[in-house]
Order: sequence, then C-alpha cells, then structure tokens
Amino acid sequence: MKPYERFLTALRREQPDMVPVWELIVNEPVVSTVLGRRVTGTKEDMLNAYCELAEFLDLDGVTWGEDQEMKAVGEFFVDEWGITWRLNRDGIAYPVKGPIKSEKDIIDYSPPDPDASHRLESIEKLVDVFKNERAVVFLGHETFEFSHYLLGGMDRLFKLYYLKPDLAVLLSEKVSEYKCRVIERAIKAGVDAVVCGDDYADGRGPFLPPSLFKKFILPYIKRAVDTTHRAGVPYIKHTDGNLKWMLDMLVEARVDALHPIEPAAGMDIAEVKKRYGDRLCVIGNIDCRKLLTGGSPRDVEEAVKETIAKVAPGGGYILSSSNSIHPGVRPENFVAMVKAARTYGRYPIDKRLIAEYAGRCLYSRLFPEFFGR
Amino acid sequence: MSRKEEILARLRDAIVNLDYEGIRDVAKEAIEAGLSPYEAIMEGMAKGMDIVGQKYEQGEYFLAELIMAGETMKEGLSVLEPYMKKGEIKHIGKVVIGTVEGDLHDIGKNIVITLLTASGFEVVDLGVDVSAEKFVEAVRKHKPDIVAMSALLTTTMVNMEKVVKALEEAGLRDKVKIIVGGAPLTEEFAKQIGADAYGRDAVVGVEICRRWVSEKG
Repeated sequence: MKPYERFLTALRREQPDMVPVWELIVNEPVVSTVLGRRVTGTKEDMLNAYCELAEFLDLDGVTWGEDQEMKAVGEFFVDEWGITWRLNRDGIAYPVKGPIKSEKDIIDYSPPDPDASHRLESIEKLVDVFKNERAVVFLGHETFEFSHYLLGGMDRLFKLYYLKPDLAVLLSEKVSEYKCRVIERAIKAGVDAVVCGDDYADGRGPFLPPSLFKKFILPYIKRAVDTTHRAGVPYIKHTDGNLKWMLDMLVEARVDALHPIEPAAGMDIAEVKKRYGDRLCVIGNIDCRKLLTGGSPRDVEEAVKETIAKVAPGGGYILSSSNSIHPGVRPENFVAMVKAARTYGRYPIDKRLIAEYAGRCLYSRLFPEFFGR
Repeated sequence: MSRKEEILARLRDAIVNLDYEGIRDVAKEAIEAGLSPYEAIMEGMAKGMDIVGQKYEQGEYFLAELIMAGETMKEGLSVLEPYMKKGEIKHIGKVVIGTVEGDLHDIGKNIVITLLTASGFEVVDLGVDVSAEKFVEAVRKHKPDIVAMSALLTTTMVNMEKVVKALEEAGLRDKVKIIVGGAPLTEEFAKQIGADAYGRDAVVGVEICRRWVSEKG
C-alpha cells in the first residue's frame, strides 16, 4: 500500500497494511535536528525542509495551511486579515492584536480575497511533490479562532456572543465564507483530506456552554464539513482539550476523524474508539506534554505499543502525537515514535501485543489526576 | 430582608446571572439608597464572583461564563468607582503578575487578574514575555505580597525558575509568596522550582492568594 492509501483507508475506518503515521505540525527546531541541517526561516526553505522530513521519516500524510502575505512592522507581522502576530523565540507566531475595535468595524470588515493567486501556493507545491504518494492534508479553519483573532482576544468574542449575538453571527459568517471558499479551492488543487484546527476546549473541558456552542460554533463546523464532503473529501476535526459533551455534537456534525485525543486533558483514546469507532477514525494520543518532551525513547516506544494494542486492531486509527511536534519535543523521541509505529503497527496487530497491553495504562503514571485508579 | 440586603443580593445575582446590561441600574440604586460603594462591591458583586468561581470549579459554569461574570463585575465597578472616596478602597493585598519570558499567552493570566481584582487585590500586570529582571524590578518598585507567573508552553515554563532564582539573588525572595499556573504545570514542578504554590486553575489560584493574605493578617 502507498502511504496515501494507508492514510485514507484508516480515515474510512478500515484496516490498511499498517498503522499510518502523521503529524499536524512539526516545528522548525525539531525539523532541523532530525534532518541535521539548519532550516532558515524563509517560507520556501521551511516547506522544502518539511518535504525532506516527510520523505526521511516516511510519514503517510503531510499538512500545510494557506498562504498569507505578511507585512513586517517592527517586531510584529500583519497578515492580510489585519491581524498582528508576534513570533516567539522558537519562531511560532501568536496573534497579539486584531483590527476590529468597534461594532461598526464588524459591519464594515471584509476578509482578504480567498481567491488570491498566492493563497494556496504552498499546498499546491505539496500536491505537486506528493500526490498519489503521501496524503496531502489541508489545514483550514472553522470560524471561532479567526473571529477571536480579529477581535483581539477570546474574551472579546465571548462578550460579543452574550451581548451582540447578531454581530457575532455576522462576523462568524464573514470568516466562514472565506474559510469555506479556501477549503473548496484546496480540494480543487488536489488535497486528499481537510483538517480544521480551531480549539474549543482545554484540560478542564469545553470553553463555552452547550447553548453557545450550538448557536455560534456548531453551524460553522457543519458548514465546513459539508463543504468538504460535497467535494468528496474526508474531514478531520482537530481540537485540544477534554471534549466531554462536545464529542457527541462533533459526531453529529459528521466529522470523519478526531485529532489529537489528548491524554494530558484526560481524553482516553480507547474509550473514544469504543464509543464512536463505528463513526469516527481516531488520531493521535502519543503524549507531547510530558512523554515526548521529558520521557526517554524507550518510554515513547512503550506508549506507542500500548496505544497500538488498544486502538489499532480493526483499523480506523492514525498514529500521531497528542498535539504537534512542538519545539519542546525531544527530536530523538519523535524519531522513536515513528520507528515504533512501523515496528509494531503492521496488520494484523500481533495478538500477544494486544494481550500484553490490555490491562496497562502508561498515562495513569503521567496523568494520575485523570487516569489514576 | 432590609432594603440594603435586598440590593446587595441583587448585585450578587446580577454577577451570577451574567446580567451585564442590568448591573448598572442595580449599582446606581445601591448608591441612591446610600450604600457605600465599597460595601456594594465586597458584600454584593464579589460575593457573586465567589459563587461563579464555585460553579466553574464544579463544572457547572464554563470559561465563557467565568469571563462574562468578570466583564459584568467591571461594568458594575464603572458605576461604583467614581463614588469612592480617596482611601476608601482597602485592598486586601498586592499581586505582581505576568506571563514569563518567551511566552505570549495571556488569556489565563487575564482571567486570574479579573478574579484577583474582584477579590479586592491590587494587581500590577506586567503583560506577556516578561523577563526575570522585569519581575525583580517590579517587586522592588511595587512591593507586592505575591508574585504570580503564568506559562502555557513546556518550553517557557522553565523560565519560571529563573524568576525565582533572580528574586533570591536580589534578596527579595522572602518578601513575597510565589504562585505559578498554566496548562503544562504540575504541583511537583512548582515545588521543584521553589515556588510556594501551584494554582490548578484561576479560581483555585486566587483562593490560595486570599488564604495567604488572610494568614498574614
């Protein structure tokens, strides 16, 4: 099986030849160390290095987002939305200021042009390089995150939900229209799947009560899912945190897969597969809060074996970290994770492995607050 | 129930019910009925914030509701504060707070600030990406009871230890209590770097700060 077939088979909740391996994001410091060369900060080199990494580790899927022209303003960068970003020392961008300051700004606001010719340059390149080889997954968004970036803070978006629901809907519509159009274009450009990255929860649970979620979030998830499905492509929902009641609603919105099923937030991947495995492919769960950052390659191998033993049988599982390969991840642990997945992830999964790990829970040691018994 | 008690209860309930649009009128009524603004804040709205905090801890309220309660409180304060006489604001303590060097996340820190303010603390917000030197400088200048640090990244939480060390070197460590918080942290980590406490979330963190200043008397 080719890597992309392996990835798409698992996404359909079927059993490929081996457990596919994928990462949503691999940050530059880890890419540099694994490749043994310094990756410069230019967009071109980052993308080239990422392609090299995918080949080097034989990842089954690759992921990139849309392109935005960034204007440098002192130590800040302003994108085409008018959102101001700042890079931290590891080169990760954080939104620090939004262009919308008033109610009138919301009414007057126009998103950038989703059809701009440069918008999908990077993803088009990934399609060129990897089509029919590795699954190309487009990283898009629903409406929540860009709405709060535009307002300059999640707290401001919450306030808008309560006090000016009509304006909150207007803003969400503007973001959604843009984001769905970009998803459509990415699919036309040849991507194999879409992943949307808005986070709705943390370790405590969802950020907002079900009533607000249903009114301001869920309709736009559904719209992004429908846009993707209409073009015949599967939809992966990424959200951090402990999803609780939200999980039912995501399944109801017909997302095809859930990522990253974070043990550090108390998410139990075996439980998710047991309850939703007939409707949902499960992705992730190799902890990047404590294990990939502070554990040994041996510990990582143990986690991979346990996760494979518990959720890989029958297919419908894609292995990845519990969020991303962020700058705190030890590069040797990332490599150990991929290697262990290849060693133990061949179908059919070894019956002795399944029996051996059935009663174990590595995460009860790392996260006793959630998995302690 | 006396008229005063009734108004205090309505101030409290306005916070619990996130009645952002209604709280101004209740606050005005409190002033017209002759309540002291300080009393209206501490015996009315702050009591409401306590209830909201408890509901958040119990999983009944979500982050959005915690934030909206804080916004409602600010709205009430905007009516009451102009009536406060100089010196009437009796802060229960002073906190210097910031997100540590290299880290640009501020939502957790901002929620803590809202809750600290609601509890009667004077808060000095150093913002995000705050170096150890800046923390030391601020402790020297503002003489707080408590230093509170936030981090959301495993790569930046290590910088909390630098702040503790820098305070030791400046001879200021025993002048302040230190509390740390943020998603990747643990109780164990807090101990290891020499902090006095770990705030599992904003509500718990503020509870610890309140206990500290009440012990101090």
